[in-house]
Amino acid sequence: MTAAFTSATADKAARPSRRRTLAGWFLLPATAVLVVFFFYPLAAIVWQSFTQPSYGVGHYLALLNDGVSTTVLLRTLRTALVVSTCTLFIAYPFAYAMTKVAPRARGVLMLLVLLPFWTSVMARNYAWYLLEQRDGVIERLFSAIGFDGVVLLGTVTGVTVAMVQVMLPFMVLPLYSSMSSIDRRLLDAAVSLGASPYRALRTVYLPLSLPGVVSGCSLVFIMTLGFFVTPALLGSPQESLISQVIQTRVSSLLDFPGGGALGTVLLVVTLVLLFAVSRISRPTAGLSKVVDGA
Amino acid sequence: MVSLVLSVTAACGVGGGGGGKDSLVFVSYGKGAYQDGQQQAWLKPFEARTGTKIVIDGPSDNAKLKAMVKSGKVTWDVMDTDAFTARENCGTLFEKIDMGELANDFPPGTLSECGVPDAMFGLILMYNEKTYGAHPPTRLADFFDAKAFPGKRLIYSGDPGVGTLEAGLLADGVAPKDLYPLDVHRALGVYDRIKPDLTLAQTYGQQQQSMVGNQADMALVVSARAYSALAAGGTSWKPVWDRVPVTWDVLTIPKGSPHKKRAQELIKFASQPKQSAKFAALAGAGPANTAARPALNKLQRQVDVFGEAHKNTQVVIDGQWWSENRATVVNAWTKWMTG
Repeated sequence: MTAAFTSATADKAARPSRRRTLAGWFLLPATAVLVVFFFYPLAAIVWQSFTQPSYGVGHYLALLNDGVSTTVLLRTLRTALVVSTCTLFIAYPFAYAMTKVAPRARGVLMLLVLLPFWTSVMARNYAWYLLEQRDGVIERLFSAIGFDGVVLLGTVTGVTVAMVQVMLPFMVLPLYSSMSSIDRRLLDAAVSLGASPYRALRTVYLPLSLPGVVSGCSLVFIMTLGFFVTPALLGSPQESLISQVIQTRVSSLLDFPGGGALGTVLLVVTLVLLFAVSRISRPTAGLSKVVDGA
Repeated sequence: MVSLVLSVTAACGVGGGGGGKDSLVFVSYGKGAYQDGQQQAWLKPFEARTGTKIVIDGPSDNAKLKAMVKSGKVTWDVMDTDAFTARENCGTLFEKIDMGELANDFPPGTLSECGVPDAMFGLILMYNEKTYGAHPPTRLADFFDAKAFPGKRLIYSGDPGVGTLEAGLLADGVAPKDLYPLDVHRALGVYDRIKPDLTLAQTYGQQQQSMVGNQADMALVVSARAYSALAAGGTSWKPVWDRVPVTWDVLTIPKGSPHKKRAQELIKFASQPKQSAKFAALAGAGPANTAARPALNKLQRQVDVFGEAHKNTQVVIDGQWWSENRATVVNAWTKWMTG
C-alpha cells in the first residue's frame, strides 16, 4: 500500500486505472464500516421480516390490513411534503439574500443558519416545548394580539413549525451553494436582451437554482420521513409518525420482524422517491450545463 | 462513568479466575428515585452481607434483552421489568424462579413463574386544585364527563397495561369482578367521550412535567409518579379516592444469565418485608411484600394506595389475561390513538 502510494505520487503520469485502484484502497475503511454496521444489520432486518416466524409476506399483508400502518405512512409522507415545502419557501429568499449581500453580512447570515445547526437537536426540541406549551411564549404572544388559547404543543401545527426550524439549515446550505455558483452576468444578459428583471429571474435564475432546490428538498424530505424526536416530544400520538409506530412494535410488543417489515416499507418508499427525484432533476442538470457552457 | 468503570474492574478482580464469579449485573430504569431506592434498600445491604459486587446497568429494555438472548450473549443477571412481559416470555426470555416459602407473601395473583413482584403501582385519578377549587371531581366517572368538568385530561399513553382501560370500564360502571375478559372496544368508547380534551403523554417524565407545569387539569397517573409530581412542586394536584387499578413490576432473571443462583438469592433478599418496605418508602411505590410496612413521608401518604386508609380502593389487574392478550390490546390501543 505504501509502495503503491509513493510510486503513484512519484509517477505523475500514472495510468487512470492504477489511480482508480488506489482510490479503491482509500475507500476500504469506510466500506468495511458500512458493511459491518449498516448493510449486514439492514439485510438481517429485511430477512427477518420475510422469514420469521414463517416464510412469506405475512407481515406485509398484516401491515396493509391493520388499519394503522397505512394511515401513519400516508401521514408521514404528507408531513414530510409539508415540511419540505415550508422550509423551501423560507430558505429560498434567505439563501438568495445571502448571495446578494456584502461578505460581512453574509457571514452573519451564515452564522444564523449554522448556530442552530450546531445546537443539539434535543435542546432545540425542548426549547420548542417551552415555547409551545400552555402559558408559554407563543400562547401569551397570541393572546396579547387578541387570540386566546393558541397552544401548539401536541398539535400537527406545533410539530410542523418545530420540524421546519430544525430542518432549515439542510435546505439553506444546498440552496446557497447552488445559488452562489450561478453566474449573475447571465441575468444582466437577459435584461440587456429586453427581459424584465422579474422575467430574468423566473426564466434564467430559477431554473439554474433548481439543482439546489432538488437536493435541499430531497434531503429535508427524506430526513423528515424518519424523524423521531420532534413528533415524540412535541406531538401527541394522534399525529404519530412512522418511526414512532416502529418503536412501539419493537420495544413494546417485541415484534422484531413486524417492526422490520415497517422499516423495510419506509426504506423502499424512500429509495423510490430518491430514484424519482434523480430522474426529474437530471434534465435540469443537463440544462444548467448547457447554459454554463454557453 | 468513572465509578462504573471502577466497579467493573473491581468486580472482575474479586472474581479471580472465574470471570466475575462473585458479581451480579442488576438492571433497572436508570438514575432516579426508583433505582436509587433499589440500590439503598437491596443492593448495598446484599453486597455487604454476601461480598458480591453488584454492577448496575440499564435502562431496562425488553427489546434489548430479546436481542441479547437471541445472540446468546446475556450479560444481565437480575432485571426489573413489567409483569406481562415476564409472564408472556417465561422460559424463553426469562428463567423460572423458585421463591420457596416466600411465595405466599405477595398480593394474590401477582407472582408468576418467572416474575417476582418488587413494586406495586396504583393508577390514581388526580385533579388540579387550581382549576376545580370549589367544585372538584369526586368519582372516576367525572374524568370522562367533559361537560360537568371541562378541562384538559392527561394520561400516559406509552403502555395501555397500567390500568388505563380498566379505569375507563370501572368509570363506566363495570364491577371489578366482571372486568375480565376486558371489553377493549367498550373501554376505548369511554375514552372517545373525552378524546378532544385528552393529552397523551408518551413518557412518564412528560406526564410528570405536564402536571408540575399545570399543563393539564385532570390526570390518570401511576402512584409512584403522582408522588414524584408532588415532590417536584406539583402540590396543587389532589387525589380522588374511587377505584384504583393496581399493576406491578417484577424482578426477573434473564434466560442464560451467568449467575443464576446468586441472582435468585438477591431476589429472595429483596422480597423480604424489611427490604421491601425500605424500597417502597424510598421510591414512593407500593411494597410487594404484603407484610411490609413502609415508613412513608407526608407527600407519599397523600397518594398511598396500599396503606390501610385506601386499601379497599384497589382493583388488582389480571396479569394472566394481560399476558395472553397484550399484543391484541396494544394494537387496538395504537390504532385508536393514531387513527
